[in-house]
Amino acid sequence: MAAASGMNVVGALKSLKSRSVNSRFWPLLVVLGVGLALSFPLLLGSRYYVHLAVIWAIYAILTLSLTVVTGTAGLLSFGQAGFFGIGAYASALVVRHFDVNFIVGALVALLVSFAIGLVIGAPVLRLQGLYLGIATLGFGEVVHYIIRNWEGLTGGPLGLTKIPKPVLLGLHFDNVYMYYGLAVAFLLLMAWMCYRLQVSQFGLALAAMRDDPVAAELSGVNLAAYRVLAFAIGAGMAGVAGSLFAHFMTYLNPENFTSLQSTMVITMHMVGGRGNIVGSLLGAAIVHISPELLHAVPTVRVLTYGALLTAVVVLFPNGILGRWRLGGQVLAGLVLKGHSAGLWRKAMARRLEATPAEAPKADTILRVEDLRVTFGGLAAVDGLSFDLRRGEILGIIGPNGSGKTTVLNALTGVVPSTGRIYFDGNEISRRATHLRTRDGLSRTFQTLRLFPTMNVAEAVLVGEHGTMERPTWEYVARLGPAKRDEITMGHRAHELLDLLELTDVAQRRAKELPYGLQRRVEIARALAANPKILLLDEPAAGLSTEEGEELCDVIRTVRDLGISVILIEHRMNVVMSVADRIVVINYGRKLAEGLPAEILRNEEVIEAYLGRRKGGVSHAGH
Amino acid sequence: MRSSTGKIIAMALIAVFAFSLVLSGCAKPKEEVILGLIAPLTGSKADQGRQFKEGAEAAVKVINEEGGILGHPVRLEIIDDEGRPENAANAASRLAAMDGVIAVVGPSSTASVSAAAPILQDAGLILWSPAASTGSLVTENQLVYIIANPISVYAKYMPAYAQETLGATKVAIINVSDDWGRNVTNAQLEILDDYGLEAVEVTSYTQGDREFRSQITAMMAENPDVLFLNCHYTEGALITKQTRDLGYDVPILVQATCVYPQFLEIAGEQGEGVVSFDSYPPSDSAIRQEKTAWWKETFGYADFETYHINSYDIVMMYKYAFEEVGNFDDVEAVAEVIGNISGFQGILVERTHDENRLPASDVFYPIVVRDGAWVSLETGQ
Amino acid sequence: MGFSLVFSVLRIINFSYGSIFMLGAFVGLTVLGLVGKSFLAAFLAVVVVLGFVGVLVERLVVRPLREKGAPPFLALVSTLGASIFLQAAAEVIWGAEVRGYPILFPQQFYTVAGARISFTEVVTLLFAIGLMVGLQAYVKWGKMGKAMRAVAQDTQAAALMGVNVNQVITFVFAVGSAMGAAGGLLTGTYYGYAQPAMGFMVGLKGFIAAIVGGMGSVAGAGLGGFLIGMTEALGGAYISFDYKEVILFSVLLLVLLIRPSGILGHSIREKV
Repeated sequence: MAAASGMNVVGALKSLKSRSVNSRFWPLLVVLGVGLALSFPLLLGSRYYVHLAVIWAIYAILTLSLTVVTGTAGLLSFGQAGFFGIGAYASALVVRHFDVNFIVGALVALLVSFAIGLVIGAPVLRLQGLYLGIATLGFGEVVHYIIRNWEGLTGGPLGLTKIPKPVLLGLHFDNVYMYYGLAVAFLLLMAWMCYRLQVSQFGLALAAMRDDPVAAELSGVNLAAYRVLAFAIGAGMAGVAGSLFAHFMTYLNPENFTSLQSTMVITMHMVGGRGNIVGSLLGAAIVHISPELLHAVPTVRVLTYGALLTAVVVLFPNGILGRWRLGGQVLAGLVLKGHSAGLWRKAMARRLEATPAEAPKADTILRVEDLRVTFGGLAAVDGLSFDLRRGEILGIIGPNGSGKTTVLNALTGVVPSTGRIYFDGNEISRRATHLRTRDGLSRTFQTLRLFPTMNVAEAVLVGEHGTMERPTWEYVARLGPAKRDEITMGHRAHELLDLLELTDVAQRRAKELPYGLQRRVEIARALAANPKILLLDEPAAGLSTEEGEELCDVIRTVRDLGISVILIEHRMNVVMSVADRIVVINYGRKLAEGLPAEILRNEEVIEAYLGRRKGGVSHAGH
Repeated sequence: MRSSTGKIIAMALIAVFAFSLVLSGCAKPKEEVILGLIAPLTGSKADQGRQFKEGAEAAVKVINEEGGILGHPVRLEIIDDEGRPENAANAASRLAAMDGVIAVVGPSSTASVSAAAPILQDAGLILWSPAASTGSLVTENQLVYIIANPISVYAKYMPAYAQETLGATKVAIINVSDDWGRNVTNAQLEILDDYGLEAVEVTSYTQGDREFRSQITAMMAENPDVLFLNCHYTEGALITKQTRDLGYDVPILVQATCVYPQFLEIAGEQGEGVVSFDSYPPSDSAIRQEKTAWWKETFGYADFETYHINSYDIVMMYKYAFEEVGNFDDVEAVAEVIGNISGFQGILVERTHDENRLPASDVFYPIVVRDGAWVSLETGQ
Repeated sequence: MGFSLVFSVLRIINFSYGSIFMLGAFVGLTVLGLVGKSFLAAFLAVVVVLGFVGVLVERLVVRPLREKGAPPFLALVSTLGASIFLQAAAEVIWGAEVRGYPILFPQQFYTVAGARISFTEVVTLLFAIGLMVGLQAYVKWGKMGKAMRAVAQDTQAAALMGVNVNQVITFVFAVGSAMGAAGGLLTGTYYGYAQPAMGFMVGLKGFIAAIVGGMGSVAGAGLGGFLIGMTEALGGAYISFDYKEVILFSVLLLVLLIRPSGILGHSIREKV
């Protein structure tokens, strides 16, 4: 029944989606649909089904916690049962010992799990993928064994009995019907939170981080902090689920909180659809309720269950609702609704004017001194120094393997380097990557790094991440100022799409666009951060001649706005036509520097490019 | 296309669901009453679950042949909880919502009983576990009964034997770290002093562990005079075997949970001389052999183990209690009758409850492994 | 071992491994019952039958996902389903109860450096080491072993070089499962019993062993297994047996934090 109620929601939402998103009726319809679906178990009139529905609601919350951690932020957590257990025991113990209200217990569960999530997350989240999975699995097992062995506190294997049922506002939640109402209220609250999280800048940044951590960080996302925060939020939600579980069962036992349980949570999440809220509800129903319904076939019950689970995963590799996403529609809508009122240009102008007073009035915006990058004893950049003047286009050229991209990586802090980098007179050599982006250093990538699950509008919005004017949580909570800023951000994104002629494809997945357009999306995303300096890494690679010329126009437009540009490029005709000045590097060292015309005549450069033979440099590279 | 597959899934789920509704709805002839049985039929405690089921089925068969309870035929509603407390709670809720359920047999462990008891209590159903042996379950819950001797009773057997027969002073205890293992060990530790014993080492393992050599070595370093194994039979046998393999010939006492043929199979020759304490007359006693023969003749198989006996007697005592009261509705009266049961002739022993509604039997039978079989310690000597 | 092999090539976690291990113990038991006390016959039967089951698992629940281009960690869930299915199947076929193993080897003991070692221990230990060394050698020098490593490094490139990727992966599952099942048989012989529930913890610990040792390294998996055993034994003996799992998993966390790719694994740097 729980599965069915999940499906009703899907059906309701699907029919809504086909209508105009603007329809005034849709919130009402959602409320009606959800209400009907959730009251379904009550209509069946059997306490058993209501009991199962409560269990379903609790596991749905647990699955939602993974929707944040794994689905949205891409962090594989095998430790949700650990947080579930921590929440359950924390709440039960607090309510039993101090005789406080259930709500206090639930809050304690939330806070304790959240705090432990922060403490565990900080070191463990340096790991990636499956290694993170194993580390969290280890954490879950440790929690399990501690619960089991700390008899004085948890009752050990005997468990905790006589956990009070909740009493709220004079209401006694001591029967399944009442408790179902409570659990559903929590579920809706959590689902709403999850939804707000996913459609806010925060969720978008998490999704970007999941899709491509490097590109996300270079869009101004503080990877380390967001990882830990997402993990801890998931932990807190699991803790709340644990609290509900404790006061429903009124009995806790360590065997509820094993790695098998964690694995089942992952299964629920995968079965329903990764990162999908409604999918989580559906997944919880299938994984936890179907074995109960299968009591009709006692001898082969577990056998059928195993087969069913496998079949669902094999038939729906993306989860049953895997491809359906809520967030993208909402955010893209925000962008497209916005009128391009020149807000981005205004923001850019403000940014460029606001040069810090202590910065030398000199027209050098970026000074690089003695930059060195070594990979295992091999110097990729070897004592490079150069200046970028305010408002100029500086071309950096050099043969393959001369260290051009490494220079950009060092400037943005993606690879460690020595030497000094001054930006607007401040040394930034030690600054974290995402902070350099926020300072005004944006870049594109030679190998396109667009977020595979996002459409063009979302990608540009991610680029704006560093320009948020309010703390992140205000966007999630949708407070007034943050809401207004979000709308402004949408306007600015729209303006950028117009500028780069991407408005028509705003709702398409960036990865599915023609190559030339993908390059422009990258530039739009980089510009969205309101940069003072734009670093372009071979933007013309793979473009046709015509597209190349369009690109040159774009670069000039950017420069005319007052943004300084460093252009790394292999195609000589592009560099020669747009660059104001050129630096030539070879073996990580500066070979020559000067105006394009001077470079073309430089014997050393010709030699480096073409060996001893003399000839037209303009053919070099391609 | 996606939405159509979604619809198919939704319909399939609804169909499964409707089907189960029909199943639970149609099997309801007027006269029949239902006894719920919550048992671990799958998972690591499945052997226990099978005995629950067979014992209860045997009793129900006998009852129905003799005209049922108060004239109503009895049906068993068997629900597998895989030995997991959470599933026991689900099962309890299922039985609580079902029409015609008069009482519940099971579930197995203290943890599962703790999980199921609040739900059944709310529904006014008596729960009677064939395996749990924690006395507080009964004293703290009005409608809960156990049939095994309470831990407080049988925790004495090992220390008493160690002192009186072995003249030991130092013991080492190893226990499984589940609800039962912890409980027994704690109960033993409380009374060791009374028997002039000192615990030189207490250590535990996780159900499913196989390698105990380092644990045994650490234990034996304290030179205990005797080992108490508060274990289930697989690990009990492995520990026994590995202790002997390591060359230690310290006397080993095991709990009745080890009195299984599998213990003998796994421990092999190294199991010889291990002593345990059964609450029922052992398999070489005349009464046990007589009853086993009767069981085989009546039900077609010779398997007649502890939980067969427990489960069978529980069902029989339910019948007695309901018929004493004369209806199925007055649960409190039924509970009172059960609480006051005295001298009820069970299949193998008499059943009596003490003032705490707990089994009052203090009889036990020391047994020993000799020539690959569990035999009475007295008759064997 | 089998675990590490499957992971190294496919980069997926195969949860069915624990169940295959358990099935190895049961199939071995059945064969021993049929043909008498011949360890070799049981070994051959186990390797063949469960190698085949491994192939079935690959064909039915892993390959379809790969062909649909699903992310590799999804196989984690599908093989978990397969694992539940296999364990339930074992319960239906053999019953859920513990079954004792016949004694295959004479009950003899040797004293080596003060420690008593039984003949069974010697045989199973030698056999396990033999299998591990054989597998390691094969992966290193055998034809299929080379193809495996090629697929492990770069599936697409291997396909372009004319390696039949599907065949290699099927083979990997067959060998991995056969190894796991042989492990089950050895465990059954050594400890003297088989039980449907015996697989899960083995699967989990095998998984951890592979990670600790370094994913994708067969020698690493062996080392990881050894370290897990030692940590449990020593941690238990010197600190507390009650907390031996806590110690084990804490050590695991520590290893991962210090060497994120495991002890013998090599880290993979992402190119920007």
